[in-house]
Amino acid sequence: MCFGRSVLFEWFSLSNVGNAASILGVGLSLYVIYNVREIRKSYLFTARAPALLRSLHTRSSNINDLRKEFATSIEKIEAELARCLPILESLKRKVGRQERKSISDVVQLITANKTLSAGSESAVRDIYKELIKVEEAMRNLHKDKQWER
Amino acid sequence: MTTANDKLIDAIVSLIDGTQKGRITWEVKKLTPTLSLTDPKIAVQAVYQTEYRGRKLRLYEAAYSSPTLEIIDDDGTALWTFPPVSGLDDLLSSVRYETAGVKEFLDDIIGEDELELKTEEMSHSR
Repeated sequence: MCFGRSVLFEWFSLSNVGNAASILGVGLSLYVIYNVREIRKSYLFTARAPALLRSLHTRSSNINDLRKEFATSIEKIEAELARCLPILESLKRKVGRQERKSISDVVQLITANKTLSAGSESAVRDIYKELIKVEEAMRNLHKDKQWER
Repeated sequence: MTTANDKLIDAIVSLIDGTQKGRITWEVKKLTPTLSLTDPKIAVQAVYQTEYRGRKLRLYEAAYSSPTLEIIDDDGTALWTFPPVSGLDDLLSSVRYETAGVKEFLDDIIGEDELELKTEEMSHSR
């Protein structure tokens, strides 16, 4: 018992305490950096989401309208899909890991279908569906964020 | 993981597809405007109805709100209202496009123009 107490007492030398404090400091700094990043992302998302979602909604509605005359609108659909990419990339930088994955999936889907043909109708349907799912998820996230403040 | 909202969106996209491809035909029911100042449906001018897979569906847009899609019974009583998810406004736009016969109208105009051009070309060649 006495031996254990003396070992503990010896450990509490200035250099050991300094080392432990440094390690703790590094951990705390990382935690603060992570939190500041999250707060910054959350603030940016709250501020920018309404405009970005409006743009995304306009694009997805245009795609839906163009699907009515698919064969003659292929080039226009390609252009609308290309316009969706920067909006999605911008949203991706402002959300958490879970939401980022669903946005990345749509980005991948669009990138894989950059050049469309007459047989791409179902691919465009899938992209449209995923776009409105992302839009809905982002809208709900934005509503949640309003309560976090 | 599929959420409840994802399922609703899948269903709405299926309705949009069915409407655009002519598998689902909607009929327009015109409403007589009421004089109530408190009724939000006052500005509803047209209600669209269809029967799909044994269920009656009603779609309309009230003033200052997103479109409403309902499952109704034979008397028109709403049994269930779809939550206001993204895609409902696109469904309404597709339904309006189909019920107004926009595609046929545009084809008619273009066809008429082409016919006029052909007759002009023929008269010039003579």
